Amino acid sequence: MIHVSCQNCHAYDVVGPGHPAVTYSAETGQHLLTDRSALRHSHSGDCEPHPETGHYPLHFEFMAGMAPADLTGGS
Amino acid sequence: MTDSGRVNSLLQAVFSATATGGSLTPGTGGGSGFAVSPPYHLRLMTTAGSNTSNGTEATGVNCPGYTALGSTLGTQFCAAPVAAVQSNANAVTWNATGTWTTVPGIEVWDTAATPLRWLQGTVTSPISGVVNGDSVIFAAGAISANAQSW
Repeated sequence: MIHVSCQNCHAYDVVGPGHPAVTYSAETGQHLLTDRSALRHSHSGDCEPHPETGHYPLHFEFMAGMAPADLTGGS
Repeated sequence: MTDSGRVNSLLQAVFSATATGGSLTPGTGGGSGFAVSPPYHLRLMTTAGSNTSNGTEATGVNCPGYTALGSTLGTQFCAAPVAAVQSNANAVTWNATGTWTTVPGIEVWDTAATPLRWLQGTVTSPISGVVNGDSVIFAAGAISANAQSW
């Protein structure tokens, strides 16, 4: 799961498998965020889309417990 | 199973050391000593590694805003462990300046002259859909090293 929030108003959604913004890739076996318009949060009136991408700038944040629970020893 | 007190000691020696670093020197027959070389860096992987092989690190080309060799986890990577578990004390942030390829894995490396990889794993959700203007953040406490089953 990953915490996705608006950089301006901080409205957020928690995204993972089964979320409407997420598509499963059989090729890679990964659940990918492919549809930002399906994020279930509402921006405030003063949020501005990025001038280049047209998307609202977002924070993709791993909160405590959302990143790997068990990093293993490397070589 | 190991005694968690001894595991805590080893983890703290390696991952709680501050920027001065240090070294661990085994007794006769105890194998090679090794240096402790903080600060540790968090690296993003476009192909996750394994316990025996490194992943493929992101670049500034496929993840614009990311710089090869990763970003620092701070002067002290982790506070003292509890029951053989440690987590990062400081947040790490990248600001994307273009569209990112998917990032399914992360690794923790030291900053020795020839850096060594210490930890690796996959993230619970691959980082995907990141575009110019977004940021990618690992909050304090988000990355755990759990040695209970090592």
